[in-house]
Amino acid sequence: MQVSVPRMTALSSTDAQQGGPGHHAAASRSTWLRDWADVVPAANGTVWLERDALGDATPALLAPAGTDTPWAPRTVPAASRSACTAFLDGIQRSRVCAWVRGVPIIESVVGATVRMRRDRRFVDGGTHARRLVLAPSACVPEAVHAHMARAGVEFVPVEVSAEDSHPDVARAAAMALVSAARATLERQLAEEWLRTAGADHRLVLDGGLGISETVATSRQVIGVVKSHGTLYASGTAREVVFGLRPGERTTVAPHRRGVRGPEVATWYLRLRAPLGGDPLFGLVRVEQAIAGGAGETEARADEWAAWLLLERQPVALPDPRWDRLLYGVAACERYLTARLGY
Amino acid sequence: MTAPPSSPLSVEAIGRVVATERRPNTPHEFHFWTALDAIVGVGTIVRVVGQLPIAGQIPVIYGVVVEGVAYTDVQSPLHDVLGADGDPAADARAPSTRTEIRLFTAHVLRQVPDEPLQPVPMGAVFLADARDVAIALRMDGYVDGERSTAIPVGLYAAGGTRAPVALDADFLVGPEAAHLSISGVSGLATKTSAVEWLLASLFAHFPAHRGSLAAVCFNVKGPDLCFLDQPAPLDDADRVLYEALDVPARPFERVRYFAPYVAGGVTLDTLRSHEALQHNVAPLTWGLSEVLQFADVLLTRDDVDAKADALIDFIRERVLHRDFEDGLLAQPHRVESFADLDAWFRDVLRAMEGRNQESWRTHHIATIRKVRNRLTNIATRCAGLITEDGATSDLPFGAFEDRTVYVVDVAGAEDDAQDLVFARIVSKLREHLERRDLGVQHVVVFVDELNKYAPADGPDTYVRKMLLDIAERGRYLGLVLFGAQQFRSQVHRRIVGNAGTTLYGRMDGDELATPGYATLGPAVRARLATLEKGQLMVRHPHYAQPVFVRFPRPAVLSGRAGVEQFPPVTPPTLDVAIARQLHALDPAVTAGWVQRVLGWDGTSAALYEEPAIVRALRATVRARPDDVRGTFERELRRGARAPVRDVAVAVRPAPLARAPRGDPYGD
Repeated sequence: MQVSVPRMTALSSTDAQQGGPGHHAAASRSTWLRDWADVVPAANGTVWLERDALGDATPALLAPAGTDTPWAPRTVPAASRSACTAFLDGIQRSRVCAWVRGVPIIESVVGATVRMRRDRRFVDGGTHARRLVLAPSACVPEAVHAHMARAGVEFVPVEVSAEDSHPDVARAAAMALVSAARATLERQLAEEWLRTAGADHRLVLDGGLGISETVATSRQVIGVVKSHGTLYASGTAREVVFGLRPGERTTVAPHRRGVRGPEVATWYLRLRAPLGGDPLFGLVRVEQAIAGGAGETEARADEWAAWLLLERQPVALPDPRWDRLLYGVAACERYLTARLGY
Repeated sequence: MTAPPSSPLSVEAIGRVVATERRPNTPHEFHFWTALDAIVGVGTIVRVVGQLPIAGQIPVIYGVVVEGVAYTDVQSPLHDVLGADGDPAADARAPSTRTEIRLFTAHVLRQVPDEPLQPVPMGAVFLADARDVAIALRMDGYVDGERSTAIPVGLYAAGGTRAPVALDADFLVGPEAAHLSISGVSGLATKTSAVEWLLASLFAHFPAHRGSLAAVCFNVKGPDLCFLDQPAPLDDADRVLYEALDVPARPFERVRYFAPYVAGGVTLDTLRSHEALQHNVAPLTWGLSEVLQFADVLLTRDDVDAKADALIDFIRERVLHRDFEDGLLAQPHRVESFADLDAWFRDVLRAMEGRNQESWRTHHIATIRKVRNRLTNIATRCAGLITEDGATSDLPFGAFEDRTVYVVDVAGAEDDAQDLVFARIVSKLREHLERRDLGVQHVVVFVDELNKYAPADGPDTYVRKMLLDIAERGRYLGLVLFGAQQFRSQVHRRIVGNAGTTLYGRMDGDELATPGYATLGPAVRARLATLEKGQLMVRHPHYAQPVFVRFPRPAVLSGRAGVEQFPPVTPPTLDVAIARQLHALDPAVTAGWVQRVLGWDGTSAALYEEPAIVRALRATVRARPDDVRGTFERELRRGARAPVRDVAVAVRPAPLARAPRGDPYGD
């Protein structure tokens, strides 16, 4: 399916404070809905579409590259303090705001933020946000475009037929655009952060590093993947991963996201003891840049792992993903929710 | 006193107003959050600047913080335990601290403009500067200009701002409102110190265009008010406060002390008996007529039924200070003293019994016995205050002076005598103020232990009725009550309710749990329970909400320090006591001269009986003549010609014939 990524208009924190869509999201949403109600039959209730998203559930295997050795457990050496100074995460919130001839009109807000840690407290290290409306161009009258422009809402055309497509196809296409928009914001922020951060700063990214070549090759960034829809282990390796004890990690293996994605090093880390025998409880997969030889990469992985173990506190409860969710990442989500009004 | 200028502290916002559906803002209450290190606490005054103009004007709201909460993003304590693996020290090792909020609740002091009165809008919150404090407390209406009526009560010191806080004299002394109530636990320099400070401020700032002002203070315990004219050592912090509040840091310039004698003695019953302090101490003595006028004070309602009341009136109008003759009586009488009165009673009763008469001039013999018993008993109960010869040494009613404190020291007197003193002095003040001939136009009456004199429950005594009368009508006369008590809840509600201004020092926790404090939030009550010395919470008609202030230590010597610096003299022998008192009037009087005049043999006077000597001394001290020695000698000679017995002895009823059967007062 051919989708077009709309023009990205990043909002700085200052813009948002001065009345950008992030700061006045609720107000502009209501204004926009009132205008939209003039030209469409009815607006749907608020049901976040991300609730249904399951991610890529296709199992895959990954053996340590260049060797026949499966994953091996390693005890992470202790560290006295975490060198992680920033956390980056993004959110997206979408809903069907109207139906036009059986096609859903999606309203979305996407945002990404960096929370900088200073004196153990988080401050804004940069925030980008966008408000989008996604629909086939044929479904949106010209008058509505003007309304949206006044309300600071970007229109993103969805390349599906307005006449004979399945509503779920149109929705899935729109959601792919929303995710792409969020990922773009995250990439932009990560790259901006790398340009401005000092050499002694470290960034923890929620998710993999494949969003950008620059990010994937930076020694200042790691990606922490909480979801295990794709498990990169089978057989004996699977036993090793599931058998990791708290404070243990696997050895490092190369990993590439997709065919053309940048190559990174990846490893599993057990943050907390499994509860009730759940092998994925407290398990995260970490991506880091490949640094020199295997020994150096392992050494850096030890370093990062030790810091991540320190980041287990404070616990991110009451989030249901608290066993894998780092508090700094949770702080990003909470901050964006508050800033964007969703 | 003028409104202070703004300080630069208020330039940056320290918080933002926040309102939710569950916790909305109202016209009288709002919420705001601050940074974790903001210098905001309970009692801090803040200013909110609205965002949208109302009728062309951006609203500005002033509020005082009354409550604060802090919480983090942890939803259950169990989550925190879980996150720390049960190790309390783990938090210190965690690289991040939880997101935390400081959320404060403030009560609105004032909205500008006053109309329309709307819920507090969203907006930036600033610390109040000195000018803001003046506006917030509506002091801007009376602190500025030539006709200012501001009376500094303390220094607002919070949020980095130090600003004078003033009461309005029109609402402290009248006529708009009046009276002051001070509550606080004992021993923490709250009640007495606050009154001493406020009187000093009142004397310094009471505006001339509002007339003259004096104070009458009843010292009812220890040496509390005995050294108001003596300077106390002050530290720099106190001097800064005095300077900021524009009140001279010096003791009262004009103080006069009055105290009764010790029972049957020649020395005054006061802890201010040091020789160096006798220049402004005078005896307080009353005669029979003064006492009889207020006999009701000492008689309970059960005693004074209509019949007894009638007899007392008869004595007052037909017997007292008159030549009284009756065919029934053995001799004519002229009743000038308690001794004369007792003689008159004996004559009447003897005559009735001799003739087996049950009534005389419509008064039943039982009633006569009862009234005799009660009245003559007064002299015993109030010995030292009452003179047997009817001579009076009193406060200078009619010649009160502006900015003068009159201290009536009745700390050593029995409760009955204290009641009598209070009732008569206040009545006299009221009489003179009604006639506008007291000498001053306003009098502040300070009474400590108000829960004892005007309790919320208990008998409806004469003193309580008088206090109620002052509280409810005194402001029209210029008679102002400054009452202090440990437990406000135990004072009659009409008295505390009529106090326009209320000061609270540190309060007892149990007292704060009583319904009278229900209008205060938990945080304010908690602060009241932990107030430091020199801190007060002030309610005043101009303030929409109570405010906390600091006041300096009084510039007068405290009772405890005063007693150490000026120790009371030990009870001297008669000759030494006379020499000391007369020496204060005439430095030429020496102990040798007194001993020579009395014929002192080392233990007693050979030439005169002791009652005559006491009478001569008291007469001389009362008269304060130019010729002290000559007057004393003349009084001695006159006493020797007509010797009288000691008061307490003189009024003791003589044995009478057996009482009639069934007479309940005959025993």
